[in-house]
Formats: sequence, C-alpha cells, structure tokens
Amino acid sequence: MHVYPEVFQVAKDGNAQLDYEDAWWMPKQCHPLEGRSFRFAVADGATDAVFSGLWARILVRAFGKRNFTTDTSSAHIGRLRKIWARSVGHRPIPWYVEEKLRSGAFAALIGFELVENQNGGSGTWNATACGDCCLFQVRNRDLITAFPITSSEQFTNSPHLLCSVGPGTDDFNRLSLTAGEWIEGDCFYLMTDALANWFLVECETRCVPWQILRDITLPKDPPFGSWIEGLRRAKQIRNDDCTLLSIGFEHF
Amino acid sequence: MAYSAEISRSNPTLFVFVIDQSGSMADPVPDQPNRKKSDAVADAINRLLQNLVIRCAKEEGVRDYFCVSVVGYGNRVGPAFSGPLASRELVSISDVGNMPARVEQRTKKSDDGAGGIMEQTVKLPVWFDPVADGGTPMCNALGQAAEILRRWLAQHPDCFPPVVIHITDGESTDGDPSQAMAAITSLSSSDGNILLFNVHVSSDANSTPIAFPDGSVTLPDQYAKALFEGASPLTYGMRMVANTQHSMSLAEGARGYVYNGDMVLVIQALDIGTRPSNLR
Repeated sequence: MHVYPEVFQVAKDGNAQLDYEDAWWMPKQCHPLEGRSFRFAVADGATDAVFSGLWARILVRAFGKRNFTTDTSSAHIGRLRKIWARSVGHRPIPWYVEEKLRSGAFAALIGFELVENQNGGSGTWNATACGDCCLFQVRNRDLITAFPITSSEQFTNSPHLLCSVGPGTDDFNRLSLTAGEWIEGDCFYLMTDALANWFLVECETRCVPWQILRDITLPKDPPFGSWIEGLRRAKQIRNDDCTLLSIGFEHF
Repeated sequence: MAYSAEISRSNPTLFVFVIDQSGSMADPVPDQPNRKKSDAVADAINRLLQNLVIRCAKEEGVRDYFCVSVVGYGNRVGPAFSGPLASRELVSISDVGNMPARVEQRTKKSDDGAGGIMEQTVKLPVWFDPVADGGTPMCNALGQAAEILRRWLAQHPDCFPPVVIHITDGESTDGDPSQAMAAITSLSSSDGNILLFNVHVSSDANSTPIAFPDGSVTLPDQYAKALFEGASPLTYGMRMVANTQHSMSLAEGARGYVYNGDMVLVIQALDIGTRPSNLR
C-alpha cells in the first residue's frame, strides 16, 4: 500500500517551541510510505510534571519501534521507565525539580497500526490508547470511528495517563484497545486533546471538520500554526500544544 | 464567564496571605498542647509555598504563573518573608523557589512497592518563620493588602482574579475590619472580583468548627459574622476542588470562611483557595 502521512504541530500560545511537550512517531521512509504494515503514534506530555515531553517521546518511539506492547508485565513497563530515568540523569538539580521527579512524568498516548490484506486495497487497523489523545477514521463524508473518546463531554482535566515511575502498573493496565478495517480512500487522524476536543465539537454541531483538516494541508491555505492561532483567538480551542498526524491513501 | 482567565507566564495571577502574628498566636493548638498556633500556621504556609513552587516547576526552572505576597500583622505590619526575601512585598514564584530562608531536611517513610517501608530524605524549604507578638491591627494589614492588589491589578488588568487568604485567631484591635474587607473584594480584574478567604484558627478544643458555610449558618458573635460577611463566595472551580479533593459537599453560596478551624481545615482552605484549574 501507499500511505501519505503528514504531521502538523504547534506549541501552546505564550510558550517557545522548546516547551512543546507533545510527541509523534511515523516511519522514516520516503513519501509516500510503501509497505504492508506501518505504525504511528501521538502522545501528550502533562504540563504539570517534569520531563513529560521526554516521556511522551519515549512512549511514541517505543510504540513505533514495536517495543511497546500491550503486555503490562512490570518487566516491560520497567524497561520504558528505566529509559526515562537514565535520560533524566543524575546532574545536580534544584530542590523543586528533585521533589517533582519523585512523582514522575505523565503522558497520554494513542498508538495506531495499519496492516494491508493479501490482495491489497484494504486491510485492518488496530489502536492502543491511554488518556485523551484520539484517533478518528473518516470514510466518504462520515466519521466512522472515534477512539477512545467519542464525545466532547468526555474530556476532563484529569484523564488517565501513563506514568514514568513505579512501582505501580495500574496506569498501563488502563490501556484501551480497539481494531477495525480500512479501505482505500479512508482518512485517519491522530490528535492530542485540545484539537480532538475541537474536532468532536464540530462533529456534534453537524460540521465536517475533516474537510477543514484536508484543506489546511493544501499549500494555498494558511499554515497549521496560523489556523490554530485563529481558533484560539475565537476561543474555539483550548490553548494547549496541538499535534495532528493525518494518514491517507492518496496525496491531497 | 468570570473566573475563567487562563493563568500563564504572560498572564500570571497573585496570591496574598495576610497572617495574624499577634501575641495570642502563641497559644497552643487545641489538640496539640505543645504546639503554638503561630508554629502550626507557619508550617502550613511553608508547605503551601513549597507546593506552589513545585506546581510551577519544570525541568528548566520555575515558571512564573504566580506572584506571592505575605503580609504579617502583630507588633508590626508589613511583608513577612524571612531570609533573602525579607521586606519584599511582591515575589515571583520563581524567586520564592530559588530563595528560601533555609532548606531543612527530614526523613520520610514511604511504601517501597515490595511490601516494605523505605526511608527517604526530603528537603523542606522555609520562607516564613512564626511570630507571636503585639496586638491585632487587622484593618491596617488588610489596607496594606488592598494597596498591593491595586498596584497588581493596574499592571495585570486581565489576570485570573487574585486570591487573598487571611488567617487570624482573634478580634481586630484597630477597628471593624468590614470596610477594609469590602475594599479588597470590590477590586476586580476583567475576569472577576478579588476572592477573599477568612480563616479563623481555633483556640477552643470544645467548639465545633464551621467550614465554608452559606448564608443559613448561625455564627456565635459579631466578629465571626463580620469575617463571614467579608469573605467571598467560592467559585465553581473552588467548590469542585473542595468536593472532589477534600470530600466536602459544598453548594453554590458557600463562602471562603472557616470558623474555629483546626489545622486540617486551615490546610484544606489554603489548598482550595490556591488551586485554580486553568493553569497553562
């Protein structure tokens, strides 16, 4: 299959790009991707923890490299947490970072895999999620999958998140799994929470947000950052890091 | 909608603590006869400042979402920080984090995850030392707080409304504080009026505490009534913190007022008053 993934990202207003704490993963190949199966992921590091952006990057990379499985054994989770602890290092840190490190970093994750059938032209997909990063599948003019959140009312200030420190593994036990089928012409969107919330609100008011998302990939339209800035000014979206990973089977 | 402004580094908010340091604060806490109220309040303020710093801490440093002012009143009225921040009336939360008067170390026991207990050394920074001396010039102290707030609002007209937490154990000795409280709560940013909490620390082990009452409560004396009437109604977000984090069941109309509170109630009031959810 030929897959055309595109990533768009913007830091929350008032923050530098260095403060961006979302993360994404897609295979590093030529565009379009050619193959029988691909993995993609988007994660959102929690603002109120330290080194959350790092934890988000560790999670998406682990998912993309197939080092993240739904095996919730403590050994598997421990490996990911050790990578985070090693990366944080042992340099001298002020008392407030030291205190916060003990609580660890937190992140939401959506991982997505596309697999092509033997005959080509269609196939299956599966997704793994924790928290409020979302997957949407659009076919023709219909939203046919919203996962794991299905309505804008389900967004809260305290979603379940994956934690970078133990000893507990309850957070990994809360992973949600789902699967489905795709045909050529479908579009998939992975998003962090602010954008996903906007997307669902638009759907609930009988709008077609995927048409807007398709349009912003066209060169004539304003870039992603300017478009998000407009939504923020109009108070249609929460001021937060925004990440969109769109996956289609044709070049827009 | 009021009380919905984003709190960010470009639009920070302010917490003002007005602390009674009069001689009666040397009396013991009701259930801890060897502990002075002034010591217990100082511990509560220090832990709150520590939590505020930690809440704003990121790997690169402390983000200035808040400024803090601590006004003490007793033998003197004025800024009450100790150490390098002494005499500063308005301090950014990053300066609070980086300039404690001292950092004490304590041993903390916690679950080791394998059925045992492990000991950890934790650092406890101190910014505010206990004082218990002199009268109770409450009106003067609230007036100074109002001046600090006016200057802040002139520079931050669109901020999340500042929160004032006033902790006292007694009766004002420089007049009726009603007007001074009204002067504070009449100030506003474009997002709403200033929020005032009045927290009465108990000396009486036999009296029943009253926490965040609405207008239907019967209060024992004119001082309690004045402090109740001067306190602001809690915002929706604050009631949610009280109900979800502290197992309370507060409805609309509940006020930021505590009468005869023990230290648990004082700490809960500090938490409810300083936990807006719209931190960005």
